[in-house]
Amino acid sequence: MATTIASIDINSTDLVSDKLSISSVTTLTGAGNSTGLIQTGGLGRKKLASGHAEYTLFDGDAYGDGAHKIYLKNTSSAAAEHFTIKINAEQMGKLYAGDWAFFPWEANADTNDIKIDPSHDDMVLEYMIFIDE
Amino acid sequence: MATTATISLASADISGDGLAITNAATLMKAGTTSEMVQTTGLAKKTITGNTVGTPVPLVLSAASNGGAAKVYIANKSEDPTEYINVTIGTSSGQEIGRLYAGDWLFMPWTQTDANADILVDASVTTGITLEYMVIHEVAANNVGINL
Repeated sequence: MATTIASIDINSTDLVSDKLSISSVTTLTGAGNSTGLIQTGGLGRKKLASGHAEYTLFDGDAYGDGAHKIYLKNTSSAAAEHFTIKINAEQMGKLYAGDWAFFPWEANADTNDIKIDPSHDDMVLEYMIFIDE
Repeated sequence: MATTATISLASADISGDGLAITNAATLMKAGTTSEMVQTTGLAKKTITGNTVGTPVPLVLSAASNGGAAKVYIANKSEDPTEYINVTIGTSSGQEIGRLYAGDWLFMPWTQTDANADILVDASVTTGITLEYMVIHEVAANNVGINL
């Protein structure tokens, strides 16, 4: 069993009049148990031309149901450059320059692919999956 | 000043090389270097048993907004068997994944249309408490927390 910790800190001194400081920490475990996830795809990087519309980053068919976790980061520093993230046919959101995302992925259907679509040529996405199998 | 979201992923033993990723993002409006200045505030809600298998809207979308927004949701349960299903899209019911006890997510959200709500349902009838927040640039009345 491995121990992998994912933590988030959201901070602002001026978003609202009371200082904002949210912190949450979780240990990545399997679905419905306390066993640490032991598999990962490793930290990867992918450069995509804009012609790579809806590039399948993670194929739902390749993973079983589980408490997988996905990490994505747009490495661009140009504000207008974004990746559109879709799950199956549903758009989740746009990851702008420097943004990151971390979310669970159950892959409970073969069609539940995670797809990315770069807004500009030669954008680079950093990504990682923690696998529950 | 600005609003920042920082993630840390750390493990000494998930691979032979370990893992130590830290990234900080400053939350900006779509395609700009202007800070996002609106938020729903940090909300806390117990998802009751009658949502088992029946997702209910947690955050409401609006038609074709398309602006940048970030969604934070945390499952505050301490029972490892308890989870909430997080789905997006009232029509499609597209499941994103399950947040188990203690888990959190932080994701972008574009609200492509009025059906792009974020919905949740609980795995148990005894209820699961969530904390959640949206930081956004959406025009007035376009993002709301479903109470």
